[in-house]
Amino acid sequence: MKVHKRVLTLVLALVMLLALAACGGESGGEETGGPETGEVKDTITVAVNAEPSVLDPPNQQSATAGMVNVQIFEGLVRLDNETGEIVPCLAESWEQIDDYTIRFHLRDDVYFHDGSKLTAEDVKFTFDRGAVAPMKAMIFEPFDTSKTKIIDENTIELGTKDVFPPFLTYLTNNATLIVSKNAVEAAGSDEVFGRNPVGTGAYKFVEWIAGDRIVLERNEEYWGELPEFKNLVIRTITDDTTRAMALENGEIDIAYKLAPAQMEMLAGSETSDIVSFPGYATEYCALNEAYEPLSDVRVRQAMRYALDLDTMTEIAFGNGVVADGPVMPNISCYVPPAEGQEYGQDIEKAKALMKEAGYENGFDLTIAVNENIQRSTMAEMLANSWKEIGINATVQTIEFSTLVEDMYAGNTQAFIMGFTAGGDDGSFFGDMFMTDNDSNWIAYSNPELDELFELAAVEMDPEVRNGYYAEAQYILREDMPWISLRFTDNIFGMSKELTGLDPDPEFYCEFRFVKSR
Amino acid sequence: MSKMHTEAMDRLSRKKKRKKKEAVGVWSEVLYRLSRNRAAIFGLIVMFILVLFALFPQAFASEGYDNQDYTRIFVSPCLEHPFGTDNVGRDIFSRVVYGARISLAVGLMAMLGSLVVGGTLGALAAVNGNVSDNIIMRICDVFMSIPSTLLAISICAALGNGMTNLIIAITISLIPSFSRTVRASILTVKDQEYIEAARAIGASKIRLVFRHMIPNAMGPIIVRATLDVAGSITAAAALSFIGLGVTPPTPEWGCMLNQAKQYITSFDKWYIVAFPGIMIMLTVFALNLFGDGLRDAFDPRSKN
Repeated sequence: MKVHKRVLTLVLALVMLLALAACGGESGGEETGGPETGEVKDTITVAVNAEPSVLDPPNQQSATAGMVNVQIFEGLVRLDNETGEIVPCLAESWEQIDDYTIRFHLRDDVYFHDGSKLTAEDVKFTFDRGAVAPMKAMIFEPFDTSKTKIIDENTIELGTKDVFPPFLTYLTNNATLIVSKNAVEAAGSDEVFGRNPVGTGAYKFVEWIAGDRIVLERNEEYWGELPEFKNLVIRTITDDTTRAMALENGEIDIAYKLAPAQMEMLAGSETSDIVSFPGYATEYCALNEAYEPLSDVRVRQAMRYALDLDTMTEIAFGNGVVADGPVMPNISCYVPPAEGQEYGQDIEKAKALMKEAGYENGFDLTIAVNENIQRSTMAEMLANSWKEIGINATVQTIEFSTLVEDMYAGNTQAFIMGFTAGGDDGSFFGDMFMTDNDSNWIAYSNPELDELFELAAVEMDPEVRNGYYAEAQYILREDMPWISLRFTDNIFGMSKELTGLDPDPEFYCEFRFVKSR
Repeated sequence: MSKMHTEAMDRLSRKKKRKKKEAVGVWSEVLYRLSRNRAAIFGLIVMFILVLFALFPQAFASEGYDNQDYTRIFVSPCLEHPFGTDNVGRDIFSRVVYGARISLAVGLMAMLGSLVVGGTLGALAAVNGNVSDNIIMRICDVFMSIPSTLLAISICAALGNGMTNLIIAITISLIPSFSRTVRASILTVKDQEYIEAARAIGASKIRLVFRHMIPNAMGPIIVRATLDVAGSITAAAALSFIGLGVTPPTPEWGCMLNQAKQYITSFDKWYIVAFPGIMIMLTVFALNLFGDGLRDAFDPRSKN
């Protein structure tokens, strides 16, 4: 009797659950009825995977903040992602004055969202402010603010400390987007401005509901072509599955970052497309040389030989191509691996190298990784493969901010991270590997490599520069401070009703180009 | 709950019981009643199998729990892999079998931990009464006002990942309710005549508690403990699911679910999500059936 009652209860509970699910489905369907009911669609909703930090170009620390920033702010120049060329933006033209100085002529018809006019003062202010911003020190470091000269309201000269070939490339970086001097001063503090950003872009800031969404509205005074959609909403949906489902049932129009499992789900979808394009992003496993066994280059090479990276990274990341070094193939200084640097899986060789290094009995290793499912899958596979050559590897999943703290403090052994180059230039790679550099968290040091990056930094001839970077890549592949895993694509899911996603390699897509089909 | 009866009724029924089955003894009586409860026996059998899984996983699993083989990813359930294989080519059945060890270990350890600590606190409160009762119970109240899952999450987040920390977190979140149970059951026997009698012939306090009170208050405590094992297993799975418990590649069921949840929308890969989920459900269901059966066996009046 009792059992029957229980079974009945169970069945009823299941029926209830199913009924609830069915109701949910129906109401979801009604909400998406917008376009079909003949209403003009005037809003695009984009979902990102992490809450943006602050909407303040030189102080933002998260990729998604950078993505929102490019909707609100503009730089002096911008990278045209169709042609790959640097084109005028707020500066309509510029000329090289000498090796250190470029003179920019600003557009005369640009107004900030607060109504004030863009002047040379704002540009000077932006660079003065950037020079003291710790987050983006790397981008502002080459510039010398004492050389900034305001010629007149619309003309300004910017100078660098040294000969600096990638000058304009650095100005395409989203840290150098121009902010309104008035607005920053009116806001009183960076924190307040970061929550109430004022730029010149095609969209202006309306409100920010923490943890949920950022609402932007078309800037009707915009100097360029007005975007088609009146509203742009950036929502934060951290869970990969939820984000993909939201796209599938029409709650959002564009979803940033799809994991392999979701790509598969959307592949057969009738309502959404997968838009992917190669970027400047790579996933890597850093080997911290502060941890004794990892300081031996033979151990690091052995760890690479133990891996079948092609298959493993395909399983974990499901897009892009397997990485053959830190530099992505679409960066112009990229060179393919030299002979003998292919590092195919070779367990025997790996074991021999371990023995040579005196670690035939292996050692303990912790692979730190954040909750990102792709990275933790990767970490599991790495740990498993390294067991084959005697390394007793365990995976430690920690919260991202804690991981970053540990990483900065050098408290990690091995960790998996992503890196996105700040632009198409070899200099962006130096920071991670040059001796004692702030961003070199893995105690790696090779004076030869330092010299190459230093030489390249002041070399004006692009061919000679890239020659230095080619040599640097050879050294990095040999020294293996990182096990480069995968060059990942930027993967968006987008409603079939939309087209024209800006294929930005850093994924800072300007949504003003999005049109309805 | 049938704790509403008066002391008089209690005494009466106890007397009746004693008269009727004096020779058989309380424990064998309980076992007899338990064996008549088919649901409880079903729960017991399932538990027995799980314990076998936990003790001798090698005998059941066809391979280790972390045998990755990238040439056989996403194999649907078949003879060779009865539960299929996951995204890195591990046999899900083997993982599930090894997972029993972790789930049961966490469940049992957390239960034992809270039994010892909570039980001691509860007994202290009940026996000493007055001030110590008040202090202990008010502290428990404070802890109980925090939802236990939330409490476990914050403890886990503070201590970090790992099985030991997981057990500690769940234990702490169980202690308050456990000490209440123990306190309540000791209070019901505290003023019985046989305790008075024991006290009258000069039994020490410790002897009173351990020889007379606890054995007679054991029923509710055992039931509570059984149900708490089930609760701990779900709590462990929940914590691992949100990434706070054990870390991969440990085949904890909740952890497996967490990794599998990315495939929840791919219906052709149902087995990745389904089997760890079914195992959690089955274990908890079995424990609950058994716990319910135990309660009925200890307290025949609660039936009907």
